[in-house]
Amino acid sequence: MTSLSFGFVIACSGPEKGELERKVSTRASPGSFRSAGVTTVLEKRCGSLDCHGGLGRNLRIYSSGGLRLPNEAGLAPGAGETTIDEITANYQSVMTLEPERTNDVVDGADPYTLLIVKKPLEIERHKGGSAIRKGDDAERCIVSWLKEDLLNPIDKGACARAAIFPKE
Amino acid sequence: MKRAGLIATAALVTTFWSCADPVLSDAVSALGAETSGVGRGEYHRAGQPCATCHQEGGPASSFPFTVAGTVFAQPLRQVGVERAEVRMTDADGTTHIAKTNCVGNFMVTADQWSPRFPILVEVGKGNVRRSMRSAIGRDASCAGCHSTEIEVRDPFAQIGHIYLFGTDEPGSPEGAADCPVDPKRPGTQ
Repeated sequence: MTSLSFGFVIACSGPEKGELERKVSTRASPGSFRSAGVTTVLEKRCGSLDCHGGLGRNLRIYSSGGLRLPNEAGLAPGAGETTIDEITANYQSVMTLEPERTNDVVDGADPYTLLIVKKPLEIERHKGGSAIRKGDDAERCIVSWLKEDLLNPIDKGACARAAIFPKE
Repeated sequence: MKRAGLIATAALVTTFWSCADPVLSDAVSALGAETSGVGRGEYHRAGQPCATCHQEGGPASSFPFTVAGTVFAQPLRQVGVERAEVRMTDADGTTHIAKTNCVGNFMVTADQWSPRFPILVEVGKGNVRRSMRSAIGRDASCAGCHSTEIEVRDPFAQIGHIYLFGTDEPGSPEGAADCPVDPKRPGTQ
């Protein structure tokens, strides 16, 4: 019994010192990130080669029109579609930009505390300028994704409209 | 004595400038020397990132560009297209049209157009039009993304040079015959 209890304690113990446990909930979910097109909005608005499609950026965005994950299919910038692996990499990029604050937002904190929202809105100084405008579909898409729960669904319409960029 | 003083002054200025921005300094150095026989001016350094030098703090800061680049004819050679139209639309919806010279270079100064990024771009000549698939996010130099290496060093993070036709320009396969310099970029076949 004692060894069983000990095993239970070990199994359920928290992360080791220095590790960060990522929170998981409906908010900022990977599923919606892909299915609702949040990734597409970020790819189109942020992922050009001279912006976050550059290897030197801390927030790195992969996309069919910009930076590609190394691949054997010969997918270069401008070729094909954004791959599942690239979407996954984009999600990781967003979620690990500010892991502690992102955890707080997943727990219900204000999404406007995150750089992924503040920078493109120029609430915080952004070298790339105003990548999205206050009140536009891109803002609604990203913020609704970060706040998504049963009572506050992601604004898929906003994401779909914001993904059309550049507008013809 | 006078000459020594000039040399010393030049060395001091260079050192100061190098110390001022090492990233910019390295970027300028990476561009290499001017092509022999092509003096500084509108025909030089075709295909290179113009705004590396032509920006505040750069070696050509007295003549800064807001947008500049080069249009070549086809993807496998670097022969400049003369009088191609580069139609640019900025985030405020303002449009500016620049025309390339005989080496394919175009350049826009602030008094001509001060765009707000991102910028949409379409290049055309005659009945041929090509639109850029993405927007220019923030880089004033087309060659900031568009590499002049025919086989780009990093095919996942770079894209080739700008070209308008799929083949040599009809009627001008070697570029404009009356160009004051060779419209073919050095090293191209």
